Amino acid sequence: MKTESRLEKMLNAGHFAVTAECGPSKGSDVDALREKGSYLLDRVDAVNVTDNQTAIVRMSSVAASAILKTMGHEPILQMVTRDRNRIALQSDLFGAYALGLRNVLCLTGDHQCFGNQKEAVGVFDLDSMQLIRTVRDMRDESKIIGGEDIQVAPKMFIGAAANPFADPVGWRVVRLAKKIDAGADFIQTQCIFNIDRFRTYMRQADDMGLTDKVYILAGITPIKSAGMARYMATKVAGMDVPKELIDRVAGVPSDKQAAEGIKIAVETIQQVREIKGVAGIHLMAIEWEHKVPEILEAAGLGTRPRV
Amino acid sequence: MIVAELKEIPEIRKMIDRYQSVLVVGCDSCVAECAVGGRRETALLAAAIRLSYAKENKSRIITEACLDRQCVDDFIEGVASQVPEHDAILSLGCGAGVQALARVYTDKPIIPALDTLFIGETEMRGVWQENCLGCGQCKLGYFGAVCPVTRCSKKLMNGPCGGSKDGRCEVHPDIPCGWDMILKRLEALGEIDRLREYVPPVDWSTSHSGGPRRVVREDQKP
Amino acid sequence: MEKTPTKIVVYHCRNLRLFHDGRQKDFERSRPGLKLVTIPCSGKVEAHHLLQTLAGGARGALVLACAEKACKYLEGSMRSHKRVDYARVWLKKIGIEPERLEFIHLPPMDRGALDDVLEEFTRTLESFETVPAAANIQQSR
Repeated sequence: MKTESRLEKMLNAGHFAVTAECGPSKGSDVDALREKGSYLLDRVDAVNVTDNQTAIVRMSSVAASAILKTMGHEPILQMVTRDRNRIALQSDLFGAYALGLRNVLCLTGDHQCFGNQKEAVGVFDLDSMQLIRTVRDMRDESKIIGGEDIQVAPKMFIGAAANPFADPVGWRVVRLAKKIDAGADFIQTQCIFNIDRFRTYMRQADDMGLTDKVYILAGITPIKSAGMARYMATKVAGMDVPKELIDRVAGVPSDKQAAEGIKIAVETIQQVREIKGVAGIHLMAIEWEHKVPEILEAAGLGTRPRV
Repeated sequence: MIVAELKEIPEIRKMIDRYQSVLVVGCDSCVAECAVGGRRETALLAAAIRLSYAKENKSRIITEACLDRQCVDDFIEGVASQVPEHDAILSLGCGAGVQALARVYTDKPIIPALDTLFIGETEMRGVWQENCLGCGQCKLGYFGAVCPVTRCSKKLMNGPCGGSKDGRCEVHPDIPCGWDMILKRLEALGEIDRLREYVPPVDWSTSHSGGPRRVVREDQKP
Repeated sequence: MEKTPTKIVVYHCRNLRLFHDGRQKDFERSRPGLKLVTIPCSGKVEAHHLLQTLAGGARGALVLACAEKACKYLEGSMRSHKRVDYARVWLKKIGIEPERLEFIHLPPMDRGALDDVLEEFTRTLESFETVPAAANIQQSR
């Protein structure tokens, strides 16, 4: 065990892990955050707290993680390199650890052009790879960037994202290997709708011996409607939503589409569980956190093991 | 070269309206190559400004002149005799040209007519592409002569982000993915191995982050 | 009061051979306000020439070009058309009627066609409020 992370303990014990996403409020509404958090409590092993996702200003992920922690959650602090330079990132890592946070997901972040502050400077002092290495050097070498020693180093369980569906396809597994080399302990993937393509990706990763070096959590997003499926297929960067799937959702009456979407999510969970190297799932039920228990029950993941 | 764009006429007018006489000064180097501040464009802008005042029945003296380089003292002196007769200079130089004029002609207001954009190349007639940010530590040798700092919208140094699709950037479909270009080129050159290695954080102290930069060479000084 | 003649500048391609008989001056004199400028190819006219012409006091300017495929210099006529369009964009920018600039393909040696064009162009220009004459604007190069 590298850290005191409950998620690491869980994965290390060989349990199939369940994480879910919880987006902080647009504003300082603690009650709204707690309410979202309450749907997930004891239902998931860890909660990803997003960092100004799609470049829309929200409550700081460090603050929201700390609040969720007081509820009994095991937060995974998401950190993007878009908005903070290395001084701020490292400082926030110190602070996050001091507040009791033990997991971090290192990301570059969506470009600021997608959000509500399009005129903002894009910092990108580090990229996600360099952030991973920074967190690892803090934990394993007690050093910050540049090599200075630190007292009481933050010991984080380090996560990274992977998108098996982005281009250039040949590069995707290489990039995964690079992230593992840089220090990633676990991977959360982009939402999986094209299960065949995901299988191929996992087989490549397994062939390269990567599945022994890292825990891969498969990304799952329940589709709420045919409109949402089409939107993700065409408007969201790096998504692969096959036409058959859109047709399947569109094929049922609009008041039944959400139920169909949940059914698809459950089937996808069952399918990814069969794939070698998949250590768990990561549920991204965007503004649909209250549906998470239902999905997990249906997938046979209703009760979480105690570690 | 430096690539720039002409400002809107109302913005230029707003800045020069207070002067009775304006010397419009072009620059026949970079901004001539990007067809925005050379001799022709200087004549065009000067004529347009004359017309715009004439239309409002306002009397103004608008004189045009063009320097071979607006960022070099020896050339800047080329308009020295005309400057005193005018209240202000409207420069069609890049930001460097405007500031060089201001350093030489200390008592004249210098007004920019252009928005300076980037260091780039003329990809074809009418198309200019940004490809250098002047970071001060050229690493093109490792990236197949495609700059990740400039051509990737997120300045990524360790490979493409998840938003690369069909060779296009997530920011806009008109933007080619810089990393797609790097990969294709290194693949063609048989040097893809260069990308497996971890690239540590960039030292931005040699870029503008280190403050305005200055090069001093004793061997070149008079 | 006598009507002030409408000042028009016509740039015409030499290869149209409009005045191959040497009667250009006569033609000009008999039409007050008209100024004819012979150019080696319509492609030599650029946007700044046209704006300078208007700033110099002309109420309008015409560019007369050969048919695109007949251009002696292959692309001159085509380029000229694009340049007149570009100059018109500039006029729009400063709030002046773009119709003050016209690009016209004229049949070669057809002065009758030129007269028709001039007549219509003059009518168009006279329908606009006059751009203040350049008298109150000093120019120097």
